[in-house]
Amino acid sequence: MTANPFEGLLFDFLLEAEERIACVEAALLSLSGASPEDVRPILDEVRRELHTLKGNSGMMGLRPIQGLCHQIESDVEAIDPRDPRVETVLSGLDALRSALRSTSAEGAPPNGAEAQTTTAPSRKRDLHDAMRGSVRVPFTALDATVDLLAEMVIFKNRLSDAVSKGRLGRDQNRAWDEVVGAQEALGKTLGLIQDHVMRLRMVPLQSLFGRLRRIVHDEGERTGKDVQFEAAGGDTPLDKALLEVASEALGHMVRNAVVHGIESREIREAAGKPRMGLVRLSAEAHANEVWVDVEDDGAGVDHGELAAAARERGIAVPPGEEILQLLFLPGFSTHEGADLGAGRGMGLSAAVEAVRRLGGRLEVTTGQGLGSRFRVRLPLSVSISRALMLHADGEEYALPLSSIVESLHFHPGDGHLLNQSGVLSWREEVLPLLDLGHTFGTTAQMRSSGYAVIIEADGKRRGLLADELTGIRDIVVKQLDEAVGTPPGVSGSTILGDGRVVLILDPRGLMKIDPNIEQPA
Amino acid sequence: MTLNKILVVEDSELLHRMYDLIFMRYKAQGGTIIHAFDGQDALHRLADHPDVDLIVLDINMPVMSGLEFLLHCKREKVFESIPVIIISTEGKEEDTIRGLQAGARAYLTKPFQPTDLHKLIDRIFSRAEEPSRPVAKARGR
Repeated sequence: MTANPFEGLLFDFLLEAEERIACVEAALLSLSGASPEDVRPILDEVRRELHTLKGNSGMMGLRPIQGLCHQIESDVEAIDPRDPRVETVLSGLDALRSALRSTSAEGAPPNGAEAQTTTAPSRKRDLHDAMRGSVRVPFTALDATVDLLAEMVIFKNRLSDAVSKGRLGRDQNRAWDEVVGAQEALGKTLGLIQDHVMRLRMVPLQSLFGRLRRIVHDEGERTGKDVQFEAAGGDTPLDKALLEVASEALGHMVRNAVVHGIESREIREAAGKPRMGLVRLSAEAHANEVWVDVEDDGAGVDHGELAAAARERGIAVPPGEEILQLLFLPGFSTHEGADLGAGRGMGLSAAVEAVRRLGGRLEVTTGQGLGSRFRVRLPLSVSISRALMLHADGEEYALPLSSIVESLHFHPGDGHLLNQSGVLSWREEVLPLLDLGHTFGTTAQMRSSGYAVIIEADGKRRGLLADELTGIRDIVVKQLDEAVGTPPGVSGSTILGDGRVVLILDPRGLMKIDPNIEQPA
Repeated sequence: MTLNKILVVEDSELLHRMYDLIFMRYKAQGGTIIHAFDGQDALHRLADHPDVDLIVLDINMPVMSGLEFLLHCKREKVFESIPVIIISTEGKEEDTIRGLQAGARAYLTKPFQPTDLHKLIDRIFSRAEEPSRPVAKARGR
């Protein structure tokens, strides 16, 4: 058994494989609207991409993936150019995607071996996380940032020079002017770097189009409607963190457009509309916002039906255009059994809530018989910070990284009681312990095992007890709703890509909480 | 065996990285790897570097396929004598045959091991004086 010489390229392989699959998928989905003479070159492209992928998987020693590619190639061969049916190939691509996902979790096999891996567990985990959270950055953008860093170093040296001149006391006034000048230049460059780095986090909206196109295709197939998907403005940049939430919301919106917007073939024909329905997605960057529109040329929303549905549920009917906001209420639908959001991620109402929490808005415009336009307005920039994710009693919390001194395993017997409060001997100190579950009311007692995270704020230190640490994430910080108020020890909330709302801990606030665990019930 | 310039024609970035690893031994001796991403790109590179010692050529590429590139190459007097190794993938045997007919010196089928390519190169250059004859495929897994 030889070692796999290309094991170190697994990450590159996975990234390229994902791009090629997305490319194949987009090409296949474009077949439905293509003219007969365009079909052949599209299929050629599909074949070429798959063939390359097969060869690359072989070179990586990934036999099962190579075999899957081979199977999909045969399925593509079976496509009739006069009537291209792509369902089999699409499900093959799904299988390929999940095989790649498990490969990214397992690591590359040594050549010749099928199941064993030589990759250390920690590396596998890293690779998996890296795949999920990677951003492609143009080299020029990175270079510009490096240039700015070099500038920073120059200004920093100038500052040091000025400071040491001042210390020598020769020409104090001049030295002071130099200090001020260097400090200003440093600040300006730092601002530019911040701006550049934030821009590195931006991802073109285009990266969502493939997934949305697939949703339109699948829902069209499922409901027996002919729907064409058009997308424009793909180069509009959006922060990666916003993109995750936008992806969920837009997924619901295009699904909604196909299922509820576009009419059946018969109804469209009777209304003198083209048989093929249209769902159009377009994006545009404005001064401080990005607008993403999902339009359909379907039936539009019937105000009367909406009002009737509201009355049926005992909901007050809002006046005028505001009635459309009913569409975003949880579980609200004018179509019986049309609760399609169920079991698929977070549901439309939750998606809308996520957009709102990010400081975004949703607007609806509709014309009966003409179609609807759903507009998602997202802020361009958000406040992002890095946090450690903690679990306690099934609840998740985000703790800003900047406050963390150390985290350690907490075993039974590590904690002691001192004047009714838990304490931990840590290095030369005795630190008060704060159990997260106890602090936020999910448990009555201090836990005896798990993790202790030592935090520092205002010159004080404390240990936080939690069950698990689940990793470091970039979080989008939002203020909590005024109505909810901010409990002590909490600075705000954040919403994760899958819609879960997580409390952000406030280290300074946590220092002020009484660590006494013998509080009366 | 020293090679000064190797032209790699391949549309996959991943494969370019692999070739960088495979050809490390030539680079250590001062050799250069020139990367091209399709046939047309390769023709431009070749115009800039007519002194290339070896071309490693993928067949399956967008814009201009490896086969088309090979035909262009063999029509030019300057490039005609540069040895070409075709890299193909299982299931495209007809391309390999056409490539050899068009004047490629040898071929290798993916997946291959770095040593397979090294052996092939050694064999091509140890019989460089002989009239060009296809070298049998070296596949050992």
